[in-house]
Amino acid sequence: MTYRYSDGSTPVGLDVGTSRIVAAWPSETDYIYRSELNSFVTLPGSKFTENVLRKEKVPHTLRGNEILVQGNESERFADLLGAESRRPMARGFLNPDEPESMTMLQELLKSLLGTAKHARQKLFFSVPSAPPGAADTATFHEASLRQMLTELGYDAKSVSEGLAVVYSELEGSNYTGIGISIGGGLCNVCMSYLAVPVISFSVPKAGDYIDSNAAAVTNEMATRVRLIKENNFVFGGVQQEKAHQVISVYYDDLINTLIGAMKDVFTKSKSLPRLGRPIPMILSGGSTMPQGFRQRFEQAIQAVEFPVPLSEIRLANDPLTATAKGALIAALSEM
Amino acid sequence: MSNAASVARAPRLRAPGRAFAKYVSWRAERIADPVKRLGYLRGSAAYWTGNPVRRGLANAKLHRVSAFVAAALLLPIPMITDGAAPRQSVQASSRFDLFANVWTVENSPDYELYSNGLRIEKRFIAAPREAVRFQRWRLDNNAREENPAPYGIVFHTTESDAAAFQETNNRRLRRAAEGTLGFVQSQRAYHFVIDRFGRVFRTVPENEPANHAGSSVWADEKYYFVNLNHSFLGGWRIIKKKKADGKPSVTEPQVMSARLLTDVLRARYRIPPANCVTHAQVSVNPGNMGVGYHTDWSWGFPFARLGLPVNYLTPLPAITLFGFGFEDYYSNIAAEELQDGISAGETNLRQDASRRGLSTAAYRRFLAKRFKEVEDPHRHLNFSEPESRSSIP
Repeated sequence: MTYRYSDGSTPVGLDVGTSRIVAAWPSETDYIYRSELNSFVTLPGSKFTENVLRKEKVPHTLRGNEILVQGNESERFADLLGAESRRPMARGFLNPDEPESMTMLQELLKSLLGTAKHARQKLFFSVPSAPPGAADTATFHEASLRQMLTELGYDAKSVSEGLAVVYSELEGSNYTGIGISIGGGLCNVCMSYLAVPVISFSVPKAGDYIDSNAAAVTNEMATRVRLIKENNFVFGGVQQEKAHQVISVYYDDLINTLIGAMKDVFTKSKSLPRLGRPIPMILSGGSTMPQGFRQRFEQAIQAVEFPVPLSEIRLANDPLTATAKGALIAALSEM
Repeated sequence: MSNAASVARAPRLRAPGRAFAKYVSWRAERIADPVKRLGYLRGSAAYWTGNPVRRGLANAKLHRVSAFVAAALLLPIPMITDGAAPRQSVQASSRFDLFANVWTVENSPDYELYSNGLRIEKRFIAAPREAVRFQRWRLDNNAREENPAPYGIVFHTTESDAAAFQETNNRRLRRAAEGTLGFVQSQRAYHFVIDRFGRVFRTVPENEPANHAGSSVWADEKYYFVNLNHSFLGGWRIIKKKKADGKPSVTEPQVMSARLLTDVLRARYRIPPANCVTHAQVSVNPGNMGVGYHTDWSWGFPFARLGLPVNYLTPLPAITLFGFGFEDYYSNIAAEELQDGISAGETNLRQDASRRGLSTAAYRRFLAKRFKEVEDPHRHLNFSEPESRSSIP
């Protein structure tokens, strides 16, 4: 690929997810990704701790008598301290219960992206869609993100998360199909027709819903449930371990809720195009990673009378980076 | 963080209507690069999102023509006006990429016979000259490439009336054909001629250029061709008669022979279907920067009956690559089929200009300058992007 500005810089694609922020850049032959956990942890401030963090190049911010460690290292420190990490975002949007949400998110973006090389450097960032019937939910979130990125010098534009998944995976069908991103805070759904988003909405249930509910039932910390879910959990029949069984139950609930919402929205929609042929459906996001997820999802779709004929249901090539890649492709297409 | 956050929402994009969507899909499928394909689709959506009244008023004529393109794609397209043409649509384009399995059965001093039944007469072949290499230029870096084999076929026809195709006119028809063949041979005007009885004559060897195309431009996905005498197989010529209503009339034997000859040439030189075009599609007039200098086969060419996609729908590369325009009179005189390519080319030109932040007129001037560079035989091509209002520092 030769998508570069004259100074060698490139456009950027950014997936701002509830649990992880992923950035994508084009390379000569493929794409390059970098990601940071969208979380931070508070340490008691001391000169010694600060020196150690600086020496180890751990991203951190000083705040009065506290040190805030952000990004990938926050999980390790939270584990060491036996504390839950703090989250700038919750349920897909800026966390209204976290006073440091915007400051820390900006720090995270700065350490991940750096400042723009020039004022025209394009950056497309993902934004969640509003849940059905709540059209303005995403306005403040989108405006805040745009402002943070503009302050870093980028020419920032938003793209809905589900649409970015379509841009990443569905060039074979002329960007016609359904893109679904199941992340930490939300399930984002977008039906696209010739690259135009026709229907976009989100369902406020995703990975965090599974973690918190399973944690309450098993009396574990949500962080630990997430680690079990991401590292060991496999879809199957009756699970041997209690945690796995509980996770399985909440996963089924999530899948059924999502499919029910899609069925409801697509059936009632007046803007559904007459497609003429079945369209593909793409699943992406960290919560689609457990082995057997796609099969379980497909079974659940087959069990209902889905209003849109589907040609295939498949996972994105890399579910963790699909949204960032799609945002980057959108940015490249505007060069 | 300040509280001045605001959302400057982009207008909600609108997908093209069902009719135009078929054309947009068809064209998008021809763009291999996913990024460029997305750019094209988003550009189309942005175009259709604009105020339809303003768009229509600004471009009333082109808008009307675009509507025809869509309609032509939706409807089965009758390929020939005086026969029971098979009903074809562009959607089945993949089969056009296949090459026929044909081989030479007999090669005598007087004729060649092929396994598909084609017989090529050699009686009127011009004296051989030195073979030349055909040329083309890459779209991505303007590098010139040469090949001993031609890259495409240009279809021509006579533009004058001839005798009616009936038994009583046998002698006149034969004499007219021989007169034309003698002229073509002396002028080295075409590589092949098909007379009204369907007989195929080779008049210029395929490894030599024929003077058939004049100033001309064409392009496929990867390459562009300028002055096609040195790029495309020098076309062949169907001698036709215009009917009283002005519609083209070719004989059934001509169409059958044309199909066989096209199959043989495409298979032998691996010519892609996109490079089988009519003279009207490629002809340009650098004097007034207009397309359609020659108008033969500006409509009614039986693409489908020759096993080819309906290339009339292809946006004219002379417009999209080099900013050629078209005279008003041409849009009235020329048939609707070529107007499809003109309209699609103009639409692309406007979108490309818009993407670069330029007015269509300014972008057309830039492309015209590019054509002057291309025309220079001693050129060293190093095209730059136009200065746009939103150029990247």
